[in-house]
Amino acid sequence: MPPVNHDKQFEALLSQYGGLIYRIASTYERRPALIDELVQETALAIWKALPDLQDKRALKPYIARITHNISVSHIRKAVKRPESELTDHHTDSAPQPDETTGKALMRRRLYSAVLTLPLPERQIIGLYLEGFSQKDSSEILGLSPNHIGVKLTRIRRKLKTIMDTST
Amino acid sequence: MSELEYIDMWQSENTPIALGPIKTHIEDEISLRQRFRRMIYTVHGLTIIIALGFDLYGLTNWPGLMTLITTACLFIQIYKMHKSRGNRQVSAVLTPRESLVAALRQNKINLRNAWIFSHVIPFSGLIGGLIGGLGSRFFVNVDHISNSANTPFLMIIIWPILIACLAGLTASHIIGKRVVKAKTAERAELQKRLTLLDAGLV
Repeated sequence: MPPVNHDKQFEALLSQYGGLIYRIASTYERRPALIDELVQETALAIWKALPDLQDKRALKPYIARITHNISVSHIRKAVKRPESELTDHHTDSAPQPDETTGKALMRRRLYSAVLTLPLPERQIIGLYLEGFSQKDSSEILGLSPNHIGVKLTRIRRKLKTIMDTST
Repeated sequence: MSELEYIDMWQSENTPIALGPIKTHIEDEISLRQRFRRMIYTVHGLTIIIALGFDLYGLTNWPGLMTLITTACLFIQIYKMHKSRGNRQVSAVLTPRESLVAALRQNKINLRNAWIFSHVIPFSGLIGGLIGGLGSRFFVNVDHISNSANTPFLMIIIWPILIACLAGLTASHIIGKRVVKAKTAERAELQKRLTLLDAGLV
């Protein structure tokens, strides 16, 4: 268990990687309230797992991997729920006030385009957009780097088509 | 737009995280661990005190029985705690390869718990029995209050050890059965998940 005086360090870590956790979580779950839950669950798992991290330089992939595992467990639980809870009816699709113009609008379109992809593709492209190498992605997802490479080429093409169509 | 611009755009999404609920979760976790540690210390302490107490009053075989009872209590407590928390440790999967990794990880966790059950419990009883037995033999003059001095020394030590080991074996046997059950359930669940993914339902 990390000592209590590591609280500040953990908070700093969360403020540094909070965005990463949130973005990865949001590729698995669309509903904002559930994304928040996922982020909290992931933060707790990271807090528990941090003492086991040997190579401090590998912190970012480590966090991404934990987020991935927690999110996949979340999906698995979601499968067990009644169908009505799995639909997108509860998605908060209304744009926020700052999302109606310029870059924010583009970002929202990109986010929506990613969400139209099937889940296995969302995982790969999500990590790619986070700047992870094929090797890191393969370790996080438990797939071979070659598989990631092949899939990534197709997904990028697909995403580009979706973005061009929605322009 | 270039890919780099897309990457920049994606990463510029920086929703702030609410720290309050996370801190609450962490505090709960710390409190749970403290409770668990306190419980372990209490049970060990009680084992020792009761074993020593009964041995002092001449009921030479009682340390073994008390050891059995206290280790059984410990077993029930650990099992209850494990049952309430175990479900959260399961990792699920999206690809066949991941399913294998997750299944292995899941089994490892279960096997580790089984190891704890089969080692910690007999050890707890063993320590209690040994200290009780040795304490009454060497540090207390029992000649005038009990018949412990007339009991062969090895018997004082062996009784608690045997009973503690028996308790441990029983515990590991029960847990072993549960591990097999968990493995089967996990495999079925993974398969179901993969089927749903293939069917595009997730």
